[in-house]
Amino acid sequence: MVTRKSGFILKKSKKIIFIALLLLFSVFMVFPFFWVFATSLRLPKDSFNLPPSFFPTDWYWSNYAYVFTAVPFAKFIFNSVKVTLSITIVQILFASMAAYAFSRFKFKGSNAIFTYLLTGLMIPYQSIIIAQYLMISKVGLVDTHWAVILPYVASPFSIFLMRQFMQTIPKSYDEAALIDGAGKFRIFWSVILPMSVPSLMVCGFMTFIAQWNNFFSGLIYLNSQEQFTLPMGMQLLKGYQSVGSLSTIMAGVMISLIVPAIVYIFGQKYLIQGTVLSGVKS
Amino acid sequence: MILGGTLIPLDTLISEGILKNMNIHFKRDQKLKNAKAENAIGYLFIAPSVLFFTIFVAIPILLTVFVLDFTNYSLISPARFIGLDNFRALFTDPDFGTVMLNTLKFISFIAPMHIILGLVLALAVTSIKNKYLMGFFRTTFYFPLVVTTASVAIVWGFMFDFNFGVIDYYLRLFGITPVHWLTSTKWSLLAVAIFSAWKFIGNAFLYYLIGLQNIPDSYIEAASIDGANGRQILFGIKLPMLTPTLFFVIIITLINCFQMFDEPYFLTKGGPGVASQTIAMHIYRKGFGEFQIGYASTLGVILFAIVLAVTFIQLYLQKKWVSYDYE
Repeated sequence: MVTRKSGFILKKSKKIIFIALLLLFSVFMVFPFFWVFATSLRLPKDSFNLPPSFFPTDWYWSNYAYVFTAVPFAKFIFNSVKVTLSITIVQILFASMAAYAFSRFKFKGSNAIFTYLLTGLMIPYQSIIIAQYLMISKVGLVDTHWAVILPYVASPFSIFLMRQFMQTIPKSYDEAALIDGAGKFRIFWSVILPMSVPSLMVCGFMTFIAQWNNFFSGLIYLNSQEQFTLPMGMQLLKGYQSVGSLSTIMAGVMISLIVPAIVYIFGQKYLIQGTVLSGVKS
Repeated sequence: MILGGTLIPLDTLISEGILKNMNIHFKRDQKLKNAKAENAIGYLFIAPSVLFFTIFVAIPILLTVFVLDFTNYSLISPARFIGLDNFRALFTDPDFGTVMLNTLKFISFIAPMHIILGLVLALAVTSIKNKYLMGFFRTTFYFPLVVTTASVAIVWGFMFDFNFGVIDYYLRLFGITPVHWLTSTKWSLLAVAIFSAWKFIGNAFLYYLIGLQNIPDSYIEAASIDGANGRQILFGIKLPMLTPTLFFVIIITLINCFQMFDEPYFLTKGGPGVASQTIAMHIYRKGFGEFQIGYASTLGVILFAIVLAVTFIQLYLQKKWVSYDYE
């Protein structure tokens, strides 16, 4: 009896230590954000002070307003939203169309074409950037948003993921719709797409986050300030370090986190559920 | 057609197999027609993806592999065919070796972090019964991955600062000699690796989490009814069933390490010198900094070859030690 009780206590204390360790790791993951927030609200002259504060000591909100006058920050956010949304929407449309064809029709060469697209998963972007740049500059699209949008509208990864998902949708749905007189386009748009929403959300979420964070293609293709996306704009803002206001930079960082944070809050449910790829089963 | 002037009953025709044949012909024709229509619609649906993929990925990689890497091309002078000179130049490029070695160093730090620590975290989080606590951990581990890389890189840049950085402040507080994280050859690579591990561990963690959730509860229940303890369930059921995920995480981690660009660019610009430069940054510097288009393309081919090799080695190994018997 005694041993059993001490065993219980041992188990309990083990569990507490275990959760404490996890909490410690969470703190390690999020403490930079607390420091950013606290610093963003300090007076610029106090911003380099040590010891670092992880909770706000001042409430100097005008740092946030200053970000927008120091650099065209609103423009950067607008550009980023524009580029990211364009890529996400078009890519999801194109990929779902291709996935529908690959999962539904046996057309000549479909396997070969599918394999051809999948090789794209093994090609690093930096390997093709030189040639791609030469091509894009040849048609005069450098320093336009086309140059950072068009290369990403076809995504082998999204096609693959959606095809996997659509294959789990029973063919009987197509047949039922066919009997009701629906054509292939109608079946795609009103039957398959609505049923594939989980996989569309996963791909949309991943594409959005990846493109929101995409710095490399902006660095290569965008030269003038009014075309800059947010990651490029952050580099510009960081240049204000010389002005000596860490607070302003941190305020900019805080603002730049808003959009991905919102997307994450709404998307995380789909991220877990959708990737499991177990939607409908016959 | 009237056969012999008499009306032959329908069922006789059928039994003679005449109508049957007609029927088959009719069906075959329709099938052929359907197949043709399916072909056309299929091509129509895949056309946009295939078109953009071909223009922006396939043609550039073919140009890189078969044309540009054999040329001397600097944008100001026209391209000139120089055979394998660019590949020979790899051996005389003083930075190439360092860059490759840097990548191996990054891998030796980041890969264990993602592959092992990510697994431990996922196992730990799934063993928590409380739904909210589990959600809290999941969110905090994944959040850095989601937020703007350029921004959090700036944050870490300041935290690594020697004079007013948070990290060196605490090192001093605990009596440890502070180091020049970003400006010394000795430490800059580690600083970049720490940042990268922090930023991207959520990725591996999430894949493991999904893999673990895919293991049917009935397996674990059955095992525990049979008297298996936690350790036996872990090594007997969870880990073997997680091997496909493990395999996937290993590939993704390695490939991402080879393609690492943002982290060193933001934190150290690859410096000091080339102390924390990666092959992806080397391509950028040669191509867009020094306009050595041909040589940069050669580096691109090397990167491509490495990624291909990693993938194929993994695919080969996968056959040997990954168990896929889910059903």
